[in-house]
Amino acid sequence: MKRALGLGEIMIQMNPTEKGALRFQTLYERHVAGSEANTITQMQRLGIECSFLTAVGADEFGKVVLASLRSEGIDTSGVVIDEKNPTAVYFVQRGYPVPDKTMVFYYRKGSAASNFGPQHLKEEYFKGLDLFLVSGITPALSDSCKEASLKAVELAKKHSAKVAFDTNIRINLLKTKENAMKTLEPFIRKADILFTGMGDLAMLFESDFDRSRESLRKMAEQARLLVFKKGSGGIEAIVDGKRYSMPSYKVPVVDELGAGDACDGAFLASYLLGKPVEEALRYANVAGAITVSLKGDIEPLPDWKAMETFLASQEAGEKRLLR
Amino acid sequence: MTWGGDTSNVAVASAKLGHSAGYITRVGSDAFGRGLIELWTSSGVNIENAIVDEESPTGMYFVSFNGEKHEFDYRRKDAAARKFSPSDAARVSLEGIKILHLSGISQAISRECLEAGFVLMKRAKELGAMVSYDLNYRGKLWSRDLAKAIYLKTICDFADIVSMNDDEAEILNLPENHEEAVRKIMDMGPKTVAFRRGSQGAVLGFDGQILTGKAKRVRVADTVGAGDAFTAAILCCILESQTTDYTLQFALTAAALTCTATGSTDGQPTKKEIRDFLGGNPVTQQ
Repeated sequence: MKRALGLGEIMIQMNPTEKGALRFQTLYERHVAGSEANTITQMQRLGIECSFLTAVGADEFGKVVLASLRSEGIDTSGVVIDEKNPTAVYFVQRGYPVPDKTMVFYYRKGSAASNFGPQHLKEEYFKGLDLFLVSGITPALSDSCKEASLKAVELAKKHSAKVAFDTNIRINLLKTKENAMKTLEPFIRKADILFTGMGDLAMLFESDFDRSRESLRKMAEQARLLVFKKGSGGIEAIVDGKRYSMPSYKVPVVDELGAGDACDGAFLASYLLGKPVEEALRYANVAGAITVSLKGDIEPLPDWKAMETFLASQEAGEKRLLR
Repeated sequence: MTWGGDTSNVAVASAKLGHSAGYITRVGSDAFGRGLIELWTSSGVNIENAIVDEESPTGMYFVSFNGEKHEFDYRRKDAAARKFSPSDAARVSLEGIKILHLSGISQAISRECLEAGFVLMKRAKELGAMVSYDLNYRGKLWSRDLAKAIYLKTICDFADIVSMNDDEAEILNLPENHEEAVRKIMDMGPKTVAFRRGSQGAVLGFDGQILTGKAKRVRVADTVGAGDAFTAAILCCILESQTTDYTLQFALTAAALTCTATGSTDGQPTKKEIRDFLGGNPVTQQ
């Protein structure tokens, strides 16, 4: 069995039952989410043996986060329970002020996960590992998280695990373009598999896609695999210099949060299981499409059977109940 | 989700009881700060002294019920309200106020707020206004020893009206007899003392008298905010120069009716609702 390890912050997501400005919402659904954890959960559901590194508060929400990982069968032995700092929370505002777009408001400053540091990493977590995953969010959380992320990349390399990195720029954490580049560059240079999106590319380089893609290829000197997520514009990959692309599926959008993470997870699982690039891209697209059509980042993540069902309905080319 | 905060609950309850109320604070420039501002404006609470802080978030808390009592998970470490400073307090407009209300929570959330509270109390006293002080102990914010020291200073130097409960009476080492405890506080200076005892009722020291009243029986949805409504009712009765007995019954009813709805302000009654509730009980009114 292939093994993957993720590092990042997992938060409580408060998602209103109705669309509209947050201040008028009184009823919320409670979900659990965090970019790397979403990706890792997607991989676990696709048959990869996963474990996760993070810190949670010694509060009710910390228990919810742990339960979420454990219910998937993800190994949580590296999760730190922080007695002093809380589990982070964020709020989602759907469909306002831009219809069909989601906005998020984070309450994560000083959280348990942002106090995770290199001292919490044990080398044994990396032994026999096939893939280590982290995104640009984690080094942006705090200096200690940045150090932990860098050390984890070194440990992964030492134990011959592939390093997967999603640029995942959170400008409210990184503040400026300059700081985004400074924080992310070491990871871009060391990644074996690199994921990015159009917004991130424009932030790091320039708005012209072709030119910024080339700039990224030059910087990502060790990456054999680069994946460009273009939202409703589909997905593109460069593997050993060869370009592949695929349009996205048209589905009704309920909540686009977590779609990029689902893409990463489905792509990485396919890759680890030795599937061809075209198939990996197709599954990445399917996982993304299913995720945008439902609320919550983790709940919609499909297993293989769900993806085959989705593909069968797409190929049937008609909207009918599957019986 | 609801909006609350002990002193804000008092301001909102006072407005619902027909008096003009304002609120002094800092809120974040996020959705929740906007929500609080709308709670105040929609309840008729003046917001000219509510500063919108562009840097800090609005504090929040989550309540879980463990079968016996409510557990509060506070997210207020970086909260805008904690940044309310003595210089903010010096700039606040206090024109025409008759009562300044603050609580032990207002003091405990930060050093800045503690000092700002003293600035406000000093200014209120100079203007001839009364100071109302709810001890409202929160163990997650400060130690019992520190709270005791600040309580005593505030009560002796500033407070005209004091609200407290059994736990706070214990912090102050007051006599176990509730009426004696109220007398002890009155001996320190305050003319009005509200000893709130939840479902056990209340003891009120008012106008030189000390009276004990039983809690009003209602179908309870949520007790959060009942004590704040009780205190607001007392403040309103002081402004209306009501009798001690009327004040006690009025406040007990305000607290009970607040418990009939969830959230800390939704159930707060109007004066007419309190009178309707008390309809069967003969009470004297000046």
